[in-house]
Amino acid sequence: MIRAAVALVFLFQQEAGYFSFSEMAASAGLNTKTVFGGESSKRYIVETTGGGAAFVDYDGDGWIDIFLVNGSRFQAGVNATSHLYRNNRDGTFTDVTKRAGVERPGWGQGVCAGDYDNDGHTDLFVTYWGRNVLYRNTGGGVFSDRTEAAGLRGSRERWGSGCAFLDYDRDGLLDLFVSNYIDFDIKSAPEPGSGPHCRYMGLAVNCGPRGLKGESNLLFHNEGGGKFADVSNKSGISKSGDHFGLGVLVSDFDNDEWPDVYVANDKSASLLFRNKHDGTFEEVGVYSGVAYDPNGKATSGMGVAAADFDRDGMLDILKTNFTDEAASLYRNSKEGLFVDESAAFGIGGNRKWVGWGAGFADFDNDGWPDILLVNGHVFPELDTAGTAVPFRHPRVLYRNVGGKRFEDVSAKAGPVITTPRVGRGAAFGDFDNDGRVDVVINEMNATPSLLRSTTASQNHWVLVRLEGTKSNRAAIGARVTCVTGGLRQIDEVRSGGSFFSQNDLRLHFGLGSAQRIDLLEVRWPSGAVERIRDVGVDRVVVVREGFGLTKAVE
Amino acid sequence: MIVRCWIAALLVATLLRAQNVSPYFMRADQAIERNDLQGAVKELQGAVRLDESDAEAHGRLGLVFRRMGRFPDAASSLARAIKLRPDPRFKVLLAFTYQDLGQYGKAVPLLSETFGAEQKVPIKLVIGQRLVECNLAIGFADEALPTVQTLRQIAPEDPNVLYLASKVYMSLWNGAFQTLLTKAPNSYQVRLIQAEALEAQGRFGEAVHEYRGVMQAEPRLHEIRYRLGRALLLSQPDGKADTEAQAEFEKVLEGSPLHVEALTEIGEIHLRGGRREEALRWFAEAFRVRPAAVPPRVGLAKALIAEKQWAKALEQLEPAVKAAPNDPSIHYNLMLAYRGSGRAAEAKQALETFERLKKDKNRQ
Repeated sequence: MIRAAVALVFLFQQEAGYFSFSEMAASAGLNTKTVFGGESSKRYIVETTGGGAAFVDYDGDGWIDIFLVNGSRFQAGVNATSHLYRNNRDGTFTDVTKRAGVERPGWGQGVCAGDYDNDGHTDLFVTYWGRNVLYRNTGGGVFSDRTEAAGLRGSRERWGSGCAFLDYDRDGLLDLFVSNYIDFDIKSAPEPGSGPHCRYMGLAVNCGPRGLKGESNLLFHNEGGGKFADVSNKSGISKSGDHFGLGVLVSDFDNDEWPDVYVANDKSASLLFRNKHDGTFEEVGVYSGVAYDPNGKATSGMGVAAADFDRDGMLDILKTNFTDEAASLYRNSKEGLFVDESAAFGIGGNRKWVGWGAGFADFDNDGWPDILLVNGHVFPELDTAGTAVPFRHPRVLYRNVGGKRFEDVSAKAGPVITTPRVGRGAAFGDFDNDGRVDVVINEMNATPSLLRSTTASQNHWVLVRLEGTKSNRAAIGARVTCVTGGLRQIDEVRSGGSFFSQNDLRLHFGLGSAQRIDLLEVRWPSGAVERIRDVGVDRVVVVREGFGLTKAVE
Repeated sequence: MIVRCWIAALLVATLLRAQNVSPYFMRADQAIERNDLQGAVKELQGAVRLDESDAEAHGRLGLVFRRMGRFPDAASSLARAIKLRPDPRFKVLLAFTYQDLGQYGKAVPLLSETFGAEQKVPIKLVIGQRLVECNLAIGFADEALPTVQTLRQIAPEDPNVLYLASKVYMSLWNGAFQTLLTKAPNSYQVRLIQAEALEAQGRFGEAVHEYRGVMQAEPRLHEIRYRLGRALLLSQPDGKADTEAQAEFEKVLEGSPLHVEALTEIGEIHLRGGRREEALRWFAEAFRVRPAAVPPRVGLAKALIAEKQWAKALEQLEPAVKAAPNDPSIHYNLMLAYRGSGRAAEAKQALETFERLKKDKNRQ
């Protein structure tokens, strides 16, 4: 009887404090506004996409830092740059942009991280409408622009969008995938209201992407010695033609231990490049069921995320879309064959918002990955016109109910989630190492948001940091299986993802009430498999390829 | 082009003419070649003077007058030629001339007669289009309707034919609506037509307002309530109006419990909302009422696919695709179901059909 009462009280407390976050950006020192095109109107589509965010431990101190991509504006005197904030390990951050040398201005878009030269320092790749940039982390908190030297400058200016490092040929060197959005030339860009694709809800708005020319995706092979070679043609990536490419997601979707690449395309079918193990890819998006909605209709793909949300041993895909379209939840039903089950899992009814950043994260550490969607429209003109659809949109938070459905718990999480904003990139990671997943969000023409998870939970957790030796040093592409009792979870170390963003490279697993981890299995990109048994919980563990568990920080 | 062919035919005929008029025709042709139309007229008038009963001379003279824009003279010569010899070519030319003179009433019987008799498709198309234009000009859109239907059978994708067809349908619509406005300006039917027109223009919010007006006037019109529900869904595709639309569909079912479309819409609302069991129940009911209906089958199949019940989904999709072979969404779901069943070859075939239909649709 007493036990039942205690359980009830506990349940009540859980319910009351379920999924709580506090907004920490201002107090943490993230005070620089992201500039991205006009604030009250946007003449060109290039002003609408916004920038990505990254949680990345650039100084290797075990505390993730923050990188926020900045944009620009068609106005003289605007000289915004991206910003790098060092984690002070006390809930605050210091702006180290200048010192770190990551000040390149321009229309920044996406960011992804990886250690392309295997020197133990995490490097950054930032996409631009213009020329992308490869920042090599030289250690000591300093980066140097190695774009030209690495052969990544490209033959012409393009609109780089999503990106991800991956070791597609498993040679131990990280390669690079870059999506491109539109072949956009400001000189010939149509004016708002000038054509059928330049009107929205009766308003004259910036034109596109329909009516504009798409772009092809790019794959660069890491040749070693800090050099990359464009293998887009050779690998079959460019064979799929021009698209409006945005979010890039790399994972082994068919469980064959080779990384595949998913690209969310705006206003057209999304693409899935299946790795054929011989340096080439085959585009199988439609057959795999991840190109369209359940009616076979293309949606406006933006952000992407992967997780095994139903714990069946296969990675599923989440994709954010435009208003009037639900986010797509592609459930992996059989080794890379998906079915869009957004409706069946309870997220199909929400078609109100334009979605961007997206992530699966186990916010309550119950062992079931939850979902956070970051939203905001593309036309600020909507606010002044007083249309039914606003420019600012709330975020949406879904709780994973035992892998059976997602429950919208946004309202319960309060104004941090429900206050309308214009969000774009979102990165997920535990910046205060307390075992709860936090989120940094790059807002459009506003200061960023830093959502510190304050969710009250008795559940346990583990953060797994992997270090490759034969595999690439950042262990990108390694798959970890975490077994606690009957609970078996998988995830992979992933570069890129969400919308133009980079999540914490450490893997977070919520463990429910488990006091010990029975097994941590690591499948390294090199092919090696490492099994570590009986691991403690509520800690950060470091696993080095070939050396097992080398460090645990409680 | 057609006129040129006829001129050639006339030239051949000329060779067979009596020797006495032939030199006139030859000189007339030479004058035409020099673009000396006045000289051609003189020669042909000479031929007419020589043999008043020569239909060919009158016909050729009519042709040259047409080229000169002297339509009254052309009409007179061509009418004389027909009287002497009722050649269908002269009839067509006279009809065209009447049309050019704005004498549509005189053109119509000639065009009707030759349109019915003509066997060559390109000529029939030209005559038919002229006939429709003349009928429209004198306000006889309903008379033009059968001709339009024949033309659409002959040349279903011809832009001229489709343009004329649109004009005829619009004219008929306008005529009927004007009569309705005059005879029953306050009737619910006036609002209904306005609602439908708004819906056709994609102005779903305004259509909802009009449908509501209709419902106030005639609450027992279940079909209109169904359309109100549809317009509600289309006016707010973000799902905000789902509950309201569902309530309208349920009211439809109160009055007509076998309304398959309403049953299907409710199923779709539940499916989108993630209430699979409910969705299945409504789709199954729709299916029970009308087993041949396609949308409930497809809805049912989508719900079954989400439950990985591939074989059961195929039971719905295979008949559905027979009934609606050009619906890409059915082929897409077929592909998913075959794929799930391990029937890869059939899945790939469904995928190819889906992609082909999608391409065709985009091209349109």
